Amino acid sequence: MADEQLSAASIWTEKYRPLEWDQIVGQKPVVERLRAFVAAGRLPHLLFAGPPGCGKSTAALVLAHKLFGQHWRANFLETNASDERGIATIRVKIKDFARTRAVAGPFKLIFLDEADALTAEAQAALRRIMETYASSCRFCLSVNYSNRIIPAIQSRCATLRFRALTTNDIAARLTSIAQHEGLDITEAGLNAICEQAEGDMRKAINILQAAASVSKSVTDSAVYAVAAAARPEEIRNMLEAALAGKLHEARKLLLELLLGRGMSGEDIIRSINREAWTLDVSDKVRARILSLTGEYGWRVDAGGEPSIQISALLAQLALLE
Amino acid sequence: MLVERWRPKRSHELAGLDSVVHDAMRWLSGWKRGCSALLLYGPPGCGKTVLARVMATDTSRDMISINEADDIRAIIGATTQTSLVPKQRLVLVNDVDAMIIEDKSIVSELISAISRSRWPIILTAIDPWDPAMKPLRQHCVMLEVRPIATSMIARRLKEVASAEKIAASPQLLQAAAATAAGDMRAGLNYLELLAAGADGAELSALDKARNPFELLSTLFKGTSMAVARHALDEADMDIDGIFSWIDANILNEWQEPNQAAAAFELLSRADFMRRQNSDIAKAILSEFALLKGKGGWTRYNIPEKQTMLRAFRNMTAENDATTARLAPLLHCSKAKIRSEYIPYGLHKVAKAV
Repeated sequence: MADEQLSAASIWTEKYRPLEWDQIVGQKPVVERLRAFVAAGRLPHLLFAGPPGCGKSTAALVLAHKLFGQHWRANFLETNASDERGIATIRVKIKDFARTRAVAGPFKLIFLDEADALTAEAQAALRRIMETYASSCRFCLSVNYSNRIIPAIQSRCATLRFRALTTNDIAARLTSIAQHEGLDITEAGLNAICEQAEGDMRKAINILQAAASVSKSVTDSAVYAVAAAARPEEIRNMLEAALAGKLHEARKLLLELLLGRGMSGEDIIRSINREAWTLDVSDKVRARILSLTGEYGWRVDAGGEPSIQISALLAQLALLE
Repeated sequence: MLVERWRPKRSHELAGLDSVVHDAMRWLSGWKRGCSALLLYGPPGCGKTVLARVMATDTSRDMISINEADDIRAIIGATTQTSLVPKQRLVLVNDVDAMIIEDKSIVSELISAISRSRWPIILTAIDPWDPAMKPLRQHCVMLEVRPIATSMIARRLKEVASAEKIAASPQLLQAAAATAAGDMRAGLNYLELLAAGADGAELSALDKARNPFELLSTLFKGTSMAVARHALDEADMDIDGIFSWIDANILNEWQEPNQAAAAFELLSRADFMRRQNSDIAKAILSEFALLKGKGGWTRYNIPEKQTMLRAFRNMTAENDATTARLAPLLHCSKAKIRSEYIPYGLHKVAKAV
């Protein structure tokens, strides 16, 4: 297992990742700014804000390619804030990277993805790191919402707002991939993917690839089957157990989702929100479920411990009906 | 510190460890470049680190001690470089199991260090049976260090007490040895407290503060908020530990849905405050006293998260390894791999062509 080679080339999100500015869809203003920066050979620190799967990482990669050409690997550091064990390890990585001079260029580029995963204290440390290395490095931070970034960092960055992709943007891209891969995709199948993807190109392409691995002809029912299979059934079982007052069982399923599947609290809340629409309950109860999910989802978002906050939600659900 | 001052320096001072010392020394004398590392495992304070230090002293080696995961890379350098100093060395990596829980990639780094090292490497662990450690175990000679017998700890405490002129009755020393429960370091620390004027009641209070079951029963069945607050302040547990014990046991105390919901709501509100202000969080937790737990004794369980994490680690180990390697290839976080790729089975597509 450990010796096995992994390659991402056969995963379509990677295989069809844009390499040129023109291939990035739906982000015209952002692409124009970035092109201008490259043309001028000057770059401020950047803050990319936008929903998942709209092209932030891709834009950073294209930017690196365009700035550094064949030397892009030597001059580009990509690190993910949600994977690192705190600001200390990020600092070490950046220090190691920034120690050597840029190859054939005035500066290096550091892309810090999911920077909103950093606490305010960690961001304060990041601000100092940015200052320390500003002469040799440019930082590009990516977040879902820019308000999660402390003002001291925001003021040092040019903020570029990415927008959720439209159905047309996604459908066009899917059609072209389907053509390349020799797939037969129906209009309804295309619409079904767009509906499931909610403006997220990564999700759209993943659903397409998962459906295509079952059959070369992609229909709406194939898409729904794939999307349903991808949804952990524990979510539904957990909600049903809680509604039936079986809290021990509901909590066991919750811990399985958190620890066994490694889902984040936010993921689980989002899935509960989606699953609530298909539960066999009255609309009055459904409305309560959704509003309670909103309340506890907010507490999770604000830094609450997922197992505690979602347990509290489940205990409230046990009181319904 | 007594623990420092009375740490055994030579192997003949390691009472009760004779056979372990013998086996460890035989490993060391037979060690050549490319040989296995020595993995000493056993509970805290049983003498793992002391044994390693003594081995270095007895064989006149310099000891390089590593405590931080981040320093592993440094030892690879330290153990492969030819040093100008002719003195022999011994490398000690402490609590390797705890490091691996934080970062699994350390396993492969250690294995490569072991096979290339110029100097013998000793690892210590409390629990070496974690599935994540399996590949590492294959590169180690395993040696168990058992908890130290209470009589042995008592004898040592007596010896130290008389040498240090600490006035403590034999009964008190015996009690301290028993409370230490096989942990020599704890025993010497208790002695330090006795030297500072602590009495038997204080030792047993300490024992109690370490006991989360006591805390839960005081908190849940408490008579007043003040009593609950006191128990929270006295608990020898950090705020995160307190939360995970309460989280795991609310349903054991309150089965009735309205009470369970009220208890979880209370915990939820307190949790919400804990990062901002742990004092306020504790004040909110004191309200558990008002919920009135059930009469009589409740069977509490240790936080499921600790036990389940272990069970699941095995199950998810393969996915975890794939996840960690796919994340950089797909330019996203491990969480994204888990939520956006694995549910669609796409991680299987990535296996080499």
